[in-house]
Order: sequence, then structure tokens, then C-alpha cells
Amino acid sequence: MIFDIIRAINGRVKMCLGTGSTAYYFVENASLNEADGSIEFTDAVENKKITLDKQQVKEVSLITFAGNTIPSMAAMDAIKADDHTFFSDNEEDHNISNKKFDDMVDRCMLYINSFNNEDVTRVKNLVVSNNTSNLDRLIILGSEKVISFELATAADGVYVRQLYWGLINKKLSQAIAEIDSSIQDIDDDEFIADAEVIKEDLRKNVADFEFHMKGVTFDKLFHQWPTLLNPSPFNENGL
Amino acid sequence: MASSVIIVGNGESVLEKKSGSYIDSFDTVVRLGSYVTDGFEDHVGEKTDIISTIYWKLDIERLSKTKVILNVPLNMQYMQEHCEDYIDREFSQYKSNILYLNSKEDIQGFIDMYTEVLPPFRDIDNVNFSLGFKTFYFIKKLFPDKKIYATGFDFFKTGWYWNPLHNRDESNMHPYTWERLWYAKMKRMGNIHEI
Repeated sequence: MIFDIIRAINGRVKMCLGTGSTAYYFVENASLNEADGSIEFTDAVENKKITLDKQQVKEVSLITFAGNTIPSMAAMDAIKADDHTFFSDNEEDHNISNKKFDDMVDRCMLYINSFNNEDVTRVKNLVVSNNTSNLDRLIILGSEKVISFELATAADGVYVRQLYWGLINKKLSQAIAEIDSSIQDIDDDEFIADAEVIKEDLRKNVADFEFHMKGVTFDKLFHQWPTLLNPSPFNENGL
Repeated sequence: MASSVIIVGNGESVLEKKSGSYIDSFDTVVRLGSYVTDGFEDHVGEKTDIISTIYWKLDIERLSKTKVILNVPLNMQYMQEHCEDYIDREFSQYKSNILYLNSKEDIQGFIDMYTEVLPPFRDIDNVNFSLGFKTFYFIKKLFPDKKIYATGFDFFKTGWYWNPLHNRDESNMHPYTWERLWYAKMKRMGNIHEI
């Protein structure tokens, strides 16, 4: 049945195929072998040729990204008989679904490039399950690897916290340099003295923040930022 | 203090002086957000002519007695329509008390107000200026001829004067340090008079 559905929508509705619970493929240029029931395609993210045999095809989960993308039994019969309006009737939904597919491929590429091509499978899983907030946080931190916050080891925890404090200190240095640059052409000693106080308060705020935030959980960490160092690179939701 | 307006910020610095009577002598007294006067009259006064607030924090009791400036945060402009519905639904009988509702067009106005006195800072186009900073913009726009006074502005160097423990150590897009630099410059230029 799944083979028939893939055949019916292939080339019209873009799809992901999930094998087991861990690996997802973003299907491009699929060709179906009617004789042995296998499917060959290119994974759009990894640009890799994949072949699924008949048994594997039977077990895949088919994922599309909008309503009216999987034909009903009646629509399948009509498509088979080449007497149908399934694609024209649902063109708008199919466009939405295909656009989401393309966006997901783009997001996967962004994450994979950011993390030096490692953890491709995990990245694809997180993108398909729309659970990328931690990936976004890791990118902001400048992490070179994908870390599952839920399953983080002690070493991962140390690494993430080092990145977090490193980011704060980098932003602090940038802010101080920017204040200096803002006032460099201003010939007003009292204003420059005010600016020095503002810089000192900023440094103190960051130091106090670091002291108070020692040992807090990841989740809290990403919802917090030194007040005077705003705007934060993370938004109100910690993303 | 005819033809003058005072904006009373919520920073603890307002408690350094007993300026209540002086504040009340201003032609127009503007207060911010969920300000408190009860128990602090000696320092912050009692009179309120205008409240500048985020729209969902608006108190109907206060609106019934006071003019308001309503803000939809700039990073939530998609809620502008919701805000207008909300006003129609919750505050229809007091709509005449709404002096101003900010709009997308004001975003550039805030940036211009900053860059008129200081060079732009990184990401200035993407920040969400704080209510205090935006209120200076609204007041300048609504009362271009009035002299602007201010007190209680430390841009979150401290908590609120009625709740010193209040802090803003959550991630947000308010560029307090830059606003404070702007405020210092405005004071030095004589455009804002701090009491």
C-alpha cells in the first residue's frame, strides 16, 4: 500500500520517509522498481543515494507536511485510472507541504554545516520532529557539536557552560568597545564620565550575573541574560 | 510648571529625594506601566495625567480616570490587531482616554530618536526599546513644545522603587545600556531635565 501511495504522489508531493524511529530521509528523484518493490532516491540533505528494499519500504513511515497530501483509497483508484482531480483540487495544500519540505531541508543544511557535518541523523530527527530549539541555542553559543541537553554528560555540561560564559564575555567586550566608539568623537568630559560609569555598571552587572547563575539548569540558563547586556542573543523564550 | 511635562520612571533612584510635591506641580505627569504611588507620595507624588503602558497591563480602573499611551511591543507587532480588538472589547467606553497607540511606523521613529544624538549600536534595527525609552518618544511626539523633565530613570540598574528585588535578568531585547547612554547624552544636551 505504501508503495502505491509513494508511486501516486511521487514528483508531485515531496515526502520524508522514516525508517524505524531514528532515521529520516528527505526524498528527491525517487524511482520505484515495480519488479522488486524497491525504491531508490537521493536524500536531499545528505545528497546520498538511498535504496530501500521491499521489506524496508513496507515498514517506512511516510511524512508530508500539509493536509490533503495523501490520497484516499478512492482517489488512489482514480489516480491509477488516470481520471482524477486530486492534484489540481489540492494544489494549494501541496504547495504548502512542498515549501515546508524545502524549508526543512534548508534548516537541516544550516544545522549540519554549523556542526561540522556531524550528527546528521540526529539533526534530521530534530528538524522533522520540530524540536530544534536546543540546536538554535547551540548555534548561538558557537557549539561545534550537537548536544542533547536531556542526555548531556558532565563533560557536555562543562562544555555548554564554557560556551555560554564565553559568549557573555564576548558580548561584554563588544558592548564596551561600542560604547567607546560611540563617545570617541564627543568633546564633552562630563558625558564621557557618565559613559565610564555606565561601562562600569555593565561590567559589574555581568560579574553579579555570573555569580548568581552558577549551577543553574540549562533551561534556566537560556532564559537568563545579564540585564544591562541586553539585547540578548536568546529571545524571551530562551531561544 | 506650566508647559512642562515630567516622566516619572520606576527606578529606585526616585527614592533618593522627596520630590512628590514638585512632581505634582507639573502641568502633565506621566507614569509608566504598573507604577505605584500609594505609600510613596513623598517621593513620587500622587498626580497622574498620562499612563504609558503595554496594552495588556492596562488597568480599567486607571483608564477610567487617566489618559493612556498604549504600547504593543515592537517584537509583537503581529499582535497589533489583537490589541485593537482588545481595546474595543475591554475598554470601549473609555476609548476617548487613549491618547496614542503605537504602530509599526514608530519603529523607525525610536531609532531616529536614538541616532539623532548618538551613533547607532549593533542590531539597533532588531531591538525592542523599553517602555521608558519609548515614552520619551511618545511624549516628544504628542507634546513637541513642552519641556521634558524626568526622574527615576536608571534603565534597570536597579529594581522598581516599590519592589527593589525586581530584576530583568531574563533574556529580552531591551537595550538598557544604550538607552541609558542616550539618556545621559540627552541630559547633557539639555533636552531632558532630570529633577
